Amino acid sequence: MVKSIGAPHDRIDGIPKVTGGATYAADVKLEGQLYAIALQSTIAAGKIVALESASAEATPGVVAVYSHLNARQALTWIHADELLALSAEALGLSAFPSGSSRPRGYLPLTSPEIYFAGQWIAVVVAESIEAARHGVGRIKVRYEVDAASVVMNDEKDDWIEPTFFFGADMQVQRGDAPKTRHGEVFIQETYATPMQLHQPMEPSATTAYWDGDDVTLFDSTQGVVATREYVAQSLKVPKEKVRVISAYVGGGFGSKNQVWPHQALAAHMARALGRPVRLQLTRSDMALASGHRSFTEQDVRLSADRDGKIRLLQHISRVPTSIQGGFFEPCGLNSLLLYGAEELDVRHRVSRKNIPTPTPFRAPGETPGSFALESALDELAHTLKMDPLELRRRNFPSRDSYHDRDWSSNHLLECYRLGAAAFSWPGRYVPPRSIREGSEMVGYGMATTAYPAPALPATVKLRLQVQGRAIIETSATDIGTGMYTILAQTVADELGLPVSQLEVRLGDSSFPNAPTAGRSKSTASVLPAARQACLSLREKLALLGASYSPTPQSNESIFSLLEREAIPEVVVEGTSTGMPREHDLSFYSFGAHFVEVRVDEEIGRIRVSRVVSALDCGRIINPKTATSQIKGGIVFGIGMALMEQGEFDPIHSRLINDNLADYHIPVNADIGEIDVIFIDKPDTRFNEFGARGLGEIGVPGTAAAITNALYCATGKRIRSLPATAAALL
Amino acid sequence: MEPFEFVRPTDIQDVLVAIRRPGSRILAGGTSLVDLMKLGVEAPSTVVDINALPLSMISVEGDALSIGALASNSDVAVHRAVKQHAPAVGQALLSGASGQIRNAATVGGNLLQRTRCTYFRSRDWPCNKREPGSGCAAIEGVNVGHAVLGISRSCIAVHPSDIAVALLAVDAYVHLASVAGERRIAIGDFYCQPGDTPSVETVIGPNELITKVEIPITNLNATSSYLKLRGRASYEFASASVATAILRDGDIVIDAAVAVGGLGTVPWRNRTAEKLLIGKKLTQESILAFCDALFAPASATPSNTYKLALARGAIHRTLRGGAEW
Ligand SMILES: Cc1cc2nc3c(=O)[nH]c(=O)nc-3n(C[C@H](O)[C@H](O)[C@H](O)COP(=O)(O)OP(=O)(O)OC[C@H]3O[C@@H](n4cnc5c(N)ncnc54)[C@H](O)[C@@H]3O)c2cc1C
Ligand code: SF4
Repeated sequence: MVKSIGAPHDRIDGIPKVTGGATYAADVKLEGQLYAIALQSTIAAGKIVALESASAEATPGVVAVYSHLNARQALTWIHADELLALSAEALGLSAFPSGSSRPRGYLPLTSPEIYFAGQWIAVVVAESIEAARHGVGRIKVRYEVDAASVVMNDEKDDWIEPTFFFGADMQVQRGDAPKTRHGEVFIQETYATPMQLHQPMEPSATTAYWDGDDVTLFDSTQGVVATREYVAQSLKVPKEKVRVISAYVGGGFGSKNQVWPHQALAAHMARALGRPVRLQLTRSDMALASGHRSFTEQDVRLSADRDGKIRLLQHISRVPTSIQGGFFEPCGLNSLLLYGAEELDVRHRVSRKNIPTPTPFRAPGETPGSFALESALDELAHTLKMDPLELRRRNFPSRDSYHDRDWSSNHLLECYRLGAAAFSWPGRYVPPRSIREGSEMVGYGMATTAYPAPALPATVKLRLQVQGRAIIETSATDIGTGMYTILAQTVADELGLPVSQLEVRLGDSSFPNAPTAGRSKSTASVLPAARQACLSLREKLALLGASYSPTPQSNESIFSLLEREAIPEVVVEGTSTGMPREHDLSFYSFGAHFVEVRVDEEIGRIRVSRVVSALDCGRIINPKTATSQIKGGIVFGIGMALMEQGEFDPIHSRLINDNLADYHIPVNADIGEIDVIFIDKPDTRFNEFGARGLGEIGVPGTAAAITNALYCATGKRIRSLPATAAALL
Repeated sequence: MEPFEFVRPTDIQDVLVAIRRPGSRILAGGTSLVDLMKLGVEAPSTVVDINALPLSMISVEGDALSIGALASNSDVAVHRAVKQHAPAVGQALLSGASGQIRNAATVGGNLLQRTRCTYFRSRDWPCNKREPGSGCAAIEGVNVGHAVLGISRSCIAVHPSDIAVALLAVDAYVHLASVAGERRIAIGDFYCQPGDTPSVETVIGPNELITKVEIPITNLNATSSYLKLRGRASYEFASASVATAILRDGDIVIDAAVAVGGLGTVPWRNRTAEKLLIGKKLTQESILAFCDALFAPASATPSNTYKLALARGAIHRTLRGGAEW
């Protein structure tokens, strides 16, 4: 039988998705269901002094209006520390020095205080979504307005120095005081990245219904287990009473990674009203009520000798978080690991702003951080008149000097070599503005990308039924990554079955636990569990006296074995252990992006005509879904480089482009050729598959590779994204 | 969305009567109207669906090309007579929106679509166009995409339509009907600059229906082309656009029309400036002189001044004949 792992298998969930067979949270329609929509605050700081909902309540179809005035009594909707700890608001709070008054996170509808514009201040429940919207438009609110701040202001801001976040110290100083020595070249620049919105295709929605004491949520989340935990805590019911289902997720990118209040609120309302309730986030809510990537400002200083050996790397990030929350962009992560400078000064300063709480967004930290770091390297290369690829080769980090550990495996040099060859990288210094073709200036740029490879324990259940059904169940979610497919591939290989004979069921908290799909850990967490389940199955069969080991010679199917032995059903579970404990190693993925841009300066037209990315993500389980992940990441990078930018109104401190008409992301016509190359060497010290996750590594570095190419084409250095025509002219 | 009454007359006279009701709005493709109703910006008490009227013909009538008000943007864009007699019009339409929207959107609706000013599109902001007298949030706000030509202290919103720019370059007419009769207005006289009344966008009366658009068939119009510049390759309104038509005798320009979009509160054209091109060769200098005259009245903010550079580039590019869209 042909091995399924390593083969470019089509997505098994592809057909249901494109034919409408896949049911998303908002597709669920239950008997007697109600619909809920929230009202957003129009001010960014202050207090609600009056909220008048009578005419909303009188609107035809409206069933209830909840706000801070009645939610506590009517919904038992109460802010509590145990709840905060499980919510998106809390992520990062532990990095803030205690002592200083640590904020409590915010929970909508619990107080009249306003912390940011767009904050939910009321929710209308109605017989239809139209009636709910209609009701929302009829609520009258009077505010007392305070001064708000949504931009960084070095002098006026109260800067906090966070301690430990994302597995790293946020204040690292190694070696001497950061000074450039005699004879060294240096660059020192400030880089800025804008606020970015996740805006997955599927807006979040939670449909909750109660059956006696049991509540079921049809939800759109990257983590059903974490959601169950939060919702149970909020409802004050045992978690066995809560079931969260998220079989399909129409993209998350981090916006559905943490748990947000709406997920519990739907259940509270359904309980209070005794009917199923769907709480629907609007496109605008997706910009405000489920996180975003904050803007950043980063100072980078590099000092190197004339041969390009980097001795000093200083990377100081100034980033915001919300008034009540904790998440901030840990921009310095890659600076700790790449390029091995003997003197490191990588620090973060955080300031509280009247913005919604930021949250992880596809490669948080690494994405904005790599824009600064990889731009600075390019600037250094130009100062040295050196090929930027050669500069990176000369500073290859042969080990993880920050953690003082070896890499489990690191084929970055191979990525450089294969990527450059496929791209036809010039391999010499190309001065800016030296290539013109017709009306276009042409430029080449490159950047390194790196991303950690975590893993957490997961459990997978396998059910084999004599009628020929093999069912795989785990609470892991497939957020478009390909989890359905690679799980089937794994079990197919172990049991000698065709993928088509396997039924994979995901995203249900009643299935065995698996971690939230985030930080590129699902492959390395779930596949080993699936394999364990297959091993348990064999053991169990052996115990029953029916040993099964498929060989090319014996083509007896496992089902005929069950039939022969009169076993109607076998159910087993397998659990993985998370990070390997036997090695003290750093587990990372690496890669390099090579980009060609074309700029028609007369008419300000910028095109990313070609991208080649070579990646070392260990063994590739499914080249097709893996390539699609990386391409998606690169498209994100193109959007970040050229278009994406959340913009606040300068007077009202309110996000104005909270919709897809004004918040620009690339369309198909913006995307040129993308060529993805995998080194495909197994990282056997990581797991038995040798596979590392790859959902995020495509994003970091891409924006810098593009702006580096723009510099090569035009001689104009873009240090503040996005690189629009206006910025380039 | 506020509840409304819905009528769908099949006869043009019935439509003309129905639209006399106060608070009524005509529904064609609905791609602009329904969107604004959902945003709460439009709240008609009666929606008069005109899709049953026979107004989607595209035909040559004598020395004019006639395009019915209900002709879809997609159909007009690829029509042979349009490509032959007014290529800029087809190109402008194809450059707009997306395939699905162009299939639903009509020519009449396109001419009357509202501005894309973000502040206009949400009831939460002060906006003189939406709510006369409430102020203009854009002037002190984010105005990267706003107008640099024809602005006033009340409003700086850009006119969004691509086809209107092309129609201005080819000297088209808009035909209107009401119970009182029919009339024809040159597209150059159709749109109103905001002045003190930005809520008044055109000269069309509340009881009037657009029946068709008429384009003169001329040698000049047959040379027309459209170039649109924007932040991404498709599915986006113009940062700057230009419709040009030019007739030459040898090297000498004998007739020229240049209309600009994305910069003005209305589609922009200056016939006096065009005279600077006529009787001369097209050179860097003559084009520069023309642009200087065309943009002399411009008033930009630091964040939207790039539009002038883009428009100048687009004019140079199209007049020198390298237009591609
Ligand atoms: C996402 C998106 C992107 C877009 N991009 C572009 C673009 O790049 N360039 C561009 O030019 N346009 C663009 N558009 C606008 C689009 O072209 C218009 O929405 C469309 O042309 C309007 O036509 P409609 O038939 O749908 O009008 P409707 O929405 O039906 O009507 C629009 C207005 O015109 C009135 N009206 C309609 N027909 C008549 C008539 N015969 N007589 C009198 N009044 C009438 C209606 O009462 C209403 O006020 C875009 C629209 C969307 C939604
Ligand atoms: S520019 Fe015009 S449309 Fe925009 S807010 Fe001001 S008045 Fe309203």
